[in-house]
Amino acid sequence: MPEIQIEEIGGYLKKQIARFQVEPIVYRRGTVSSVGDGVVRVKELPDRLYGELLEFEGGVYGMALDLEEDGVGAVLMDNSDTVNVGDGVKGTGVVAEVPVGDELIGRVIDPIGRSLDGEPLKARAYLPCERPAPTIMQRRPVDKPLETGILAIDSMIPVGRGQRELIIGDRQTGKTSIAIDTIINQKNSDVICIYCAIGQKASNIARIIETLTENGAMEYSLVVASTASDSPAMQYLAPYAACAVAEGFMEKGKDVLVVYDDLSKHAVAYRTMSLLLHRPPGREAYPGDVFYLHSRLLERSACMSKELGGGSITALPIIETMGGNISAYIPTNVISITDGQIYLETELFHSGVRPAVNTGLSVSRVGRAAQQKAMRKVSGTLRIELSQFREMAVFTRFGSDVDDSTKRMLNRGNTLTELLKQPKSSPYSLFDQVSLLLAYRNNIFEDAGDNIKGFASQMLSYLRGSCASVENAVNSTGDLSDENEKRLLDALNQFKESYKNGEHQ
Amino acid sequence: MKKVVITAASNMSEETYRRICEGFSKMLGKAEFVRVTDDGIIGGFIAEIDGEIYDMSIASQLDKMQKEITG
Repeated sequence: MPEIQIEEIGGYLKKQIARFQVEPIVYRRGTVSSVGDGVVRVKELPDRLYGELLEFEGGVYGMALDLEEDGVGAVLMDNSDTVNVGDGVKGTGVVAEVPVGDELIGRVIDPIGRSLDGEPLKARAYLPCERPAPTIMQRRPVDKPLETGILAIDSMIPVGRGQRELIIGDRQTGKTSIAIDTIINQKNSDVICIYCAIGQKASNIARIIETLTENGAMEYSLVVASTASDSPAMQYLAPYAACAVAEGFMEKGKDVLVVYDDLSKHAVAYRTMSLLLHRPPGREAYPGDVFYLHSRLLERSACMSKELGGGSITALPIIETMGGNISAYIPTNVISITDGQIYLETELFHSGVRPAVNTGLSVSRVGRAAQQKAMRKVSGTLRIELSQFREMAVFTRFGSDVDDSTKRMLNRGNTLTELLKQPKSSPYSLFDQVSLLLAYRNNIFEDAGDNIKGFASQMLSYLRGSCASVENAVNSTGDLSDENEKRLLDALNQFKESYKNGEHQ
Repeated sequence: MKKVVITAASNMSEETYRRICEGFSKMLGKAEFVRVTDDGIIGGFIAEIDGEIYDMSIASQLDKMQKEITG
């Protein structure tokens, strides 16, 4: 590092100050003509931008959203009762911006870029929250996997880098857990993670930050938080701010994962704002542009072309449904915008299938192309088998006699269901997933009886000891060569034999 | 007749204030002047005419200088 001379700094500062021109700062001052419910009308404030930040007397900020001939309609960013009729208002000339860059990693910020963790932010670059999405020519097809570490998802509903995969389900079905587990699983990948809380309970956000910290995930993650007590404008801005931060990383060629938790609350915040601004209500009282609200946000997730650095933004938006109704207004909107959805069911959750992924209704429209070769090799017909099993299980629920082939199928289905259960914050590596599925395909679990989970974990630790070279090869290349497959299979059969002889019980 | 509100720090002399008023009178013709004291602006003055603000205060100039130097 070259040494910096103090004289040089002094000289530079002197030059800067000498160049400084003292001239009057001229601007117009508007006056507040009405205040109510966080919405302000301002008289005599011409030449404002759409979305510009306005500064009120006392340092409160608002965002200009209605531009009219004789004034401006704005929403307040802070819940403040210090704004009164007759107060002065000044345009700042900038639209809402957020800081971007490596300094943000490990931090918690609010949607207008203020630090929420007590430490000052030392960001050097800023980007506007609202930005156009990458154009068609700037993109390339999704071709790299984003591993969630969750067997049910990586095997059947794979997500690629640059994809937008919706997580949808009722309250208390583990939507956030899937997103957080995915963030935790990025530990040894080069993906930067952003968790964006929209109108969440402050206690929930605190718990999530704690989970991330405990698992060492804050070293490559950051949180953009707006709580339920923040103004609707703040909640409305949160996902756009998170996306702008992500774009800052993407433009440097990095892969980013953004979790929007959740977009139903975002739509509600936008509805509140729109109704207070007297915009005409449409279906379910949402304004006419509520589709565009989410489509312009999710279009900004992209996989950039190699010439532009090849970065990507993967989006995991979350939608909360009411009573399992995925055909309500906002859920259908977001389903149609995204590249697939992970559907979680209350019934499955309560019957102990966790993560409660309904594999029949869940799809991934682009992830298959990005799936790891090794996974593609072993996951083949899993979805069909599972849906056939679920269908059959309904028929045989009343304990009717079944023939042998059906019985075998039911057994296999039960085994698979057991295997797909996975506790929170315990991601599987690619090798673990491949071994489990390979074992399942080759009926290694026939002698495990009811103890599938115990059998599986013993099997995995056995394999880690006996097939370390295969483990390395699979985890680093993402491929399972025929030779390695044979070695793995031999090891699996050996384990099966020794288990049968009671060596592992 | 236009109303001009001049905000100045308390250390501004009557003489300086009078000369500022004279300057504005030349520009605007007959005008009514109101003096407001605010030490937060450090020095200089801020004039407000019909919602238009001319800010020549030291505090704002320092802010501007900081923005220009630090980018």
